[in-house]
Amino acid sequence: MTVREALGGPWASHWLFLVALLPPTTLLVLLREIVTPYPEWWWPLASAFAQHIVVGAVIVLGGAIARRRHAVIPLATVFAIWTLAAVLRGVVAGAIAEIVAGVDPEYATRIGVWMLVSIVWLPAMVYATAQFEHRRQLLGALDFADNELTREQQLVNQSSADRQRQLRHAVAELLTPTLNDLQNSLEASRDGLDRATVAELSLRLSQLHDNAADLLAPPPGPMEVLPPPRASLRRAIDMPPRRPWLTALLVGWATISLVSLDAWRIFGSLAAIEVVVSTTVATVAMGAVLASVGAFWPTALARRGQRITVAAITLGIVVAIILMLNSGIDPITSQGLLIVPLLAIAFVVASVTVFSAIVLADANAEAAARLGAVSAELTVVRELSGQREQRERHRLSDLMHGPVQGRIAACVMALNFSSTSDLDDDQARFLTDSVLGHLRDVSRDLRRITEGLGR
Amino acid sequence: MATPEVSLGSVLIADDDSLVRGVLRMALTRAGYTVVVACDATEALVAQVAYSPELVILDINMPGGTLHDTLGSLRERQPELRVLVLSGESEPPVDLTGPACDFARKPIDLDDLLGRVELLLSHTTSHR
Repeated sequence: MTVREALGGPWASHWLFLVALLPPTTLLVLLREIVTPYPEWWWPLASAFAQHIVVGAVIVLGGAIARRRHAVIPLATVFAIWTLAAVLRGVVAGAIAEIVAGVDPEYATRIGVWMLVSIVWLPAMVYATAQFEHRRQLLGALDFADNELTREQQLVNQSSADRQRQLRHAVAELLTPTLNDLQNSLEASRDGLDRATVAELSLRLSQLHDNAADLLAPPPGPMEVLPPPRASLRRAIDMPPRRPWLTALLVGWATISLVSLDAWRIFGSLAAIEVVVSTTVATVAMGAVLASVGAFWPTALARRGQRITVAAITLGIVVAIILMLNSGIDPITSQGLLIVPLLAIAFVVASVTVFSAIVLADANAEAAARLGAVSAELTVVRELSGQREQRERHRLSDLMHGPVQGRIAACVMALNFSSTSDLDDDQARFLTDSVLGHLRDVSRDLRRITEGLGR
Repeated sequence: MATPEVSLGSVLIADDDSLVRGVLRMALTRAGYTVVVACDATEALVAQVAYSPELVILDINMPGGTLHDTLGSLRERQPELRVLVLSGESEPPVDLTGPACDFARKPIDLDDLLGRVELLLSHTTSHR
């Protein structure tokens, strides 16, 4: 999956994605509007919802319009849609603040901050989500291909004699009950056969002939199958972390870009510096844990990558909180307390996003290569299996051609003729007796074939 | 070997299945054709010499000779002979060549068979 496919795919404008973004953006708006003197406590919430609805409408509608012309939306269009949404979010936030609270709307600041946040966060989140979804599909397809390969290999390893025996039993199971039933029906009513009965017998016999022919026909090619089910969420993310320092750098950058500007605007420069320092130390701690485990206990990282990653993120959050509340950079602790929830959420979301983006891209490339190899092997094995199957069916078809299929065809023709013609008694008796004799011969020869004749 | 009756055209039925021979004979006779039957390739060649049929309905798998050999011998004596090959196979044999040949799969609907016979024989008439 290329970057363009990931960013221009369905997740670029997916409604579910926008719903998932509602809680963190609402929290961000609540922090930002702490200093806005709204007349009621719920106005910041209303502002957050209004902003999100406008953003959602722009992104979903923009994505739908762009997708009419492009299956994969070009990157420039995707970024234009996201930027437009960020601009409108700033305008809506400023307008509500001005109208309701009577303050300076600060359009430029609001638009600038939302554009920065969008450009830093949205590509990473959309890319990670697209890779995650792609991984679930890849793993599902890989499981399906592996199972198919095992099944086909078992068929190939089966001996010709075994396969021949299976085919003969399948044919006998298919034909014998109907043959017996038809014989009994014909015997029971041989002296009083009307045209409708004969036509019905003819139809049943004709179906029997076709079913046997289908069973002996060359095997069909690979069946068209439904898309394999996607792998579970848990399995899709069950991977050890990679490139810990790059991960730490990106997590730090994303978190700082989201929190520090508002901390500066609301609480002043010291609060912003405290955010930068706390986040930097937290990401260094997180990266150090992952790098150390990877260097000294690579097996542990491979086996328990998820748990170690969660532990490293938790350590990062704890370090950030401690520093925000105790570093002394910003002497007003209450300001740190207000910023901490947003910082923690930003850190977690950034970590999950960056970890996923980095790990999944590599893992998907490996899974796609493996899927290609398994599919190629499956094609070869299927071809071999098909050739063997065709050979065995051909052998049996040769054996059954005259004694079974030919006689059944003759019976069908005779019953058809009988059901559509005015026959005298002698002709009718001749045909009925001949059909009965043929069916008995078919049953006898079918038994012989099943018991091993011509093996 | 049965004696033909005077009628629209003469048809030789060569099939080793007595029921097929019987049914085809009844159907063609009722439709107005002269019918002669043979149960193997040798009989078919003898019947051809005796009755010079205009059309032969030939089963692919018969005792006494392969389709290729039987058809070759029949055509050697009677190059304009019309041929309708009946078989349980779904595909016509590759060596089914020559003028006015047709192939049908068993079990064939008898109306369909009569239509094919009529068509082949009209072909014969127009080539005369």
